Amino acid sequence: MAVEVLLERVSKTYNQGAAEVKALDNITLRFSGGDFKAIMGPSGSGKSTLLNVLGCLDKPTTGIVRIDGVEVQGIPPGALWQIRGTKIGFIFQNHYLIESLTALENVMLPQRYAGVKRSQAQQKASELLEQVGLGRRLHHRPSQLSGGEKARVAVARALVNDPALILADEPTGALDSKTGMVILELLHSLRSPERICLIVTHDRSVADTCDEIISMRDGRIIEA
Amino acid sequence: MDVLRNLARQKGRSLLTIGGVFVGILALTVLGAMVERINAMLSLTERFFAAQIMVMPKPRGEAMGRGVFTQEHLKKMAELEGVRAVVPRINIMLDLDDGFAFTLGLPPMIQAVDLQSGHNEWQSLKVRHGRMLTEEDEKGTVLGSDLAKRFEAQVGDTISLNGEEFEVVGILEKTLSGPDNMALINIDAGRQLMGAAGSSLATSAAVVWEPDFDPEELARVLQQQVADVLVLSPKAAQEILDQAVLVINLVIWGAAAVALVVGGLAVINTMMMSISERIREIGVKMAIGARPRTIVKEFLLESGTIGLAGGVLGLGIGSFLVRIGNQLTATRGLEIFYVSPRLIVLTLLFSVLLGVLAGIYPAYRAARLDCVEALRRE
Repeated sequence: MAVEVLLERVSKTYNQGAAEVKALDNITLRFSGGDFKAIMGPSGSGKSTLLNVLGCLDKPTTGIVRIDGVEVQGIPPGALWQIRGTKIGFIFQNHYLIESLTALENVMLPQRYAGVKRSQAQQKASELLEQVGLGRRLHHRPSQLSGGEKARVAVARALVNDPALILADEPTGALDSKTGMVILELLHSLRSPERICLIVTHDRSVADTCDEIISMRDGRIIEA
Repeated sequence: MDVLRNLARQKGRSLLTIGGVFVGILALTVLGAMVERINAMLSLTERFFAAQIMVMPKPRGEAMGRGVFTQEHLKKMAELEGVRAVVPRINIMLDLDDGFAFTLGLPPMIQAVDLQSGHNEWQSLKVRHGRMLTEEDEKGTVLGSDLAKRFEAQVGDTISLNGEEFEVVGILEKTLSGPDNMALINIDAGRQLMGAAGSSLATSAAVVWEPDFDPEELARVLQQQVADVLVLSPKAAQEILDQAVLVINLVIWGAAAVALVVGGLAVINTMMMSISERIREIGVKMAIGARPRTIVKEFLLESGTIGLAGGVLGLGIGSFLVRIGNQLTATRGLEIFYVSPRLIVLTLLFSVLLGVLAGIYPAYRAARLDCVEALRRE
């Protein structure tokens, strides 16, 4: 069965003191394998909340989220790790690598959490790092890597468990334009009919490289 | 490895925390070694009292004075139903030239025993050098291990006990109890030392019962039938020992517990600090598939490692200090510490347990972090 991610009438409401803030307002979206889409919008438009809901970091207040056949609502918060670890790959804006671990160990981490044997995880992580051009930087710590190299490690870490859904939050935001383009090319090279890739970005030039741009404002989709 | 690297991130803080646990475990080792020493001493004493009814003459009232048995006393005891043997004894304080010294347990003593009575609890002790005393050794003595060290005596040497010369016929294995500081001689030699040669003088007697006879009942009969004696039954002796053990253990373990609470609080504080510094990292780990249990395990491993490191250090240095302490006092026949295998195992287990227990709350807090909030944290 083809990979599919579905959001149906999803709303997310936060309480800020006495006030209620609607971060997502009745969102319905459907993604399928091979999608490579950008999510754009001003600050506070709900992009990050959407990404958090899609990434099972947060649960919607109402609505249905289905990722690769798994309905997220029914999963208790303490058990969401499984879907996060196996079906979703995150790429964070500031890479968020674990400073005490080497590049290789950072990439191995999701595999270790998924219960893969150390030797197998090591092999897979090495291969991926080779693939993203870091074969000679396996045992370097994040502090010894450049911004572009860190971004590539983050991409490799997101891919290591072969997730159905890649969520990239401003993947080029912390990089200079040249390095940003390299990372963008890297992401494009990972396109696959078995994978959905969603990129949250402020950068129009990044969004323009994607197949489709989803624009958000005030928690709603204004253009898709 | 990851655990060590995480601890190495804040070397100073980790070392200080390990130092906190170290102090607690050091206190536990030193005080525990003292308890073990006392327990070892009392366990032999328990065996000693369990096999006999102790009978002493009632004090006569003079300062520090103790009464003495007459032949009548001994005869009357021996005639009672259920009595297998009455073993007269004389306990004499050993007059040593090196003045007053603090001792754990009994002070150095000479014990004169009637070896013809057919019962001698010394027979149950192991002889390391030479042999056990026999009734033929009129001027012979068997020395406890500490006393032999104090006299620097070997089998065949002649030593002076309270002014009289005795030949050392045997030296006992170390028992960690009263006999280590005792010299065993024949009762006649003891009477001679007391200036009562040829008399039936005895300062105490051990009454041994016939098999299948209730020693408690016999103790009651002894108290009723024999005038002017104090009777200590095995059960009464056990109760006194139990009370002593309880008080000693409460005081010493109480002190150790205070030290350990301090160590435990240091671990909790460090782990809480560590978590507050690594909130975003925890969020990232959760986002890439770490289960709450994995986060808990990670922090418990860290706190357990702190506990183990503090434990190994505390036990190592504590054992070293205890050894030095024993060496310094051994020449005076006093060894107040005993690091038993049980103490080593329990101390190490306890140190890890302390770390793990102290890490539970911080680890639980880490695992309960909201993933989105954690990722937002700078």
